[in-house]
Amino acid sequence: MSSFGTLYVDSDSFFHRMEPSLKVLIFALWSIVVFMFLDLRINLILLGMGALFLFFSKIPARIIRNLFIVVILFNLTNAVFIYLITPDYGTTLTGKSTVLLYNLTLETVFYIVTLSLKYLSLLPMVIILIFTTHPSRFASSLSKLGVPYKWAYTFNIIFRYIPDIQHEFKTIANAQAARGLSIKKDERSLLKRIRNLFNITIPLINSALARIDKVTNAMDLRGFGKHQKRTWYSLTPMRKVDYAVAVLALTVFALFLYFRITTTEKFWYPF
Amino acid sequence: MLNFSTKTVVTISIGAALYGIIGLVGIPIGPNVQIRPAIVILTIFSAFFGPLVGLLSGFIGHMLTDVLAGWGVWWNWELSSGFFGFFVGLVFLFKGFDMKYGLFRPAHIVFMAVTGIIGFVLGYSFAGFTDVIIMDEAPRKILLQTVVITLTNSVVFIMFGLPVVLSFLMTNRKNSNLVIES
Repeated sequence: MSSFGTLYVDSDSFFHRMEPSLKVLIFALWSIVVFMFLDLRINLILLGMGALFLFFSKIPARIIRNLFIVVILFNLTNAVFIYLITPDYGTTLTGKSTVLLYNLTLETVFYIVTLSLKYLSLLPMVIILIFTTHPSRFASSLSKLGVPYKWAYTFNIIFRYIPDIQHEFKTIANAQAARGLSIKKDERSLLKRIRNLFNITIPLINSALARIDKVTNAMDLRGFGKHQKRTWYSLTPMRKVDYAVAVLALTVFALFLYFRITTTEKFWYPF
Repeated sequence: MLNFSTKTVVTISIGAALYGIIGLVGIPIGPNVQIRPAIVILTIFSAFFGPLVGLLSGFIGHMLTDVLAGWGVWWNWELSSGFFGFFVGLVFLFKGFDMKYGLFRPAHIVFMAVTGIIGFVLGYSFAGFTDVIIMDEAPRKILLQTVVITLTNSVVFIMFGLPVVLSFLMTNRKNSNLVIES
């Protein structure tokens, strides 16, 4: 990521306009559906729905691709480790054993494929939540969900200070490098580089402590936390579309739940 | 508990932002293995401000690292940082321990080392357990992963985290070394 401040991609789409608390709700329901099943069909349905959502969200394809690459790489290493450590796990789950090669069974391959798709099908809603939600709208929306506003406000402060802290880290690292305590490759000894990196944390923490006092005083002076409730600049009211989407999401979730209750086995294995 | 003071809100936020940003920095020492100073930040913040700040800074900060690095959101592994922050911050509750004035006894440092490792063990066990329950991961693979990650992080915590806490305590001692002359 080039700019750390915020990941929000400014655009105008159905998901950009959607109420953030509703996105959090859909994300939660989506995750619960993923967690409930170990079923290839469900994951394919979810991935299809996710692809549709991502298409409508107008997030640049580059961002989506990068995230998928990371999770696919994770899945590949995961698959290798599962095969190396527990090559018979598919048999444990299904009670069958169809040997393909040496100790590789069809059941384990099927399990690994299902598990990989399970990880992948979590992604679409995560991407939508992260890249179509502006941090300040997110904070105001959290307070609407019933989170105390002081808790919600932490998200505002975090995104406000990320660029500052990043800048400070660079300044301190450069200052230390000027004294000959570099953390980059120009310091040959690895041990010294590690020690220098850990030494940067001390001035960084000291300045953070000073910053905490300053910000606290500034906020107290402006009366932060005096009242039980506060209003938000970026708070938007729920629209009719939002209610409709909420009802739709809950209905689809109920369908998945019904399907889960009526099927006995969690792991779907057709052979 | 629910009604934070302004200072707590700011501390949690700045702690999380700091932990989140530093979480992106690391020196590679082997294939796919990095030494990261982020755990030091969380240790210091927890020791300074207590378990609640450690819990929330760790959880939100780790989430921030994952999101900024482009890994998505993995709440159960992110909560393991919260566990560690909570446990390593318990030392704050001792009357005789104060980071700001450099007050401590050697027993406090031992306590920190023990609670820190307990935090890692509980946090990563929780993460691994939930991965088996909700993601249907292979249990034996997760067990190995959990053991490896607990060991490496404990070593970094003992080797780098505690010395930085000690050096903070030693430096701040001059805030409280005045004696009344008779």
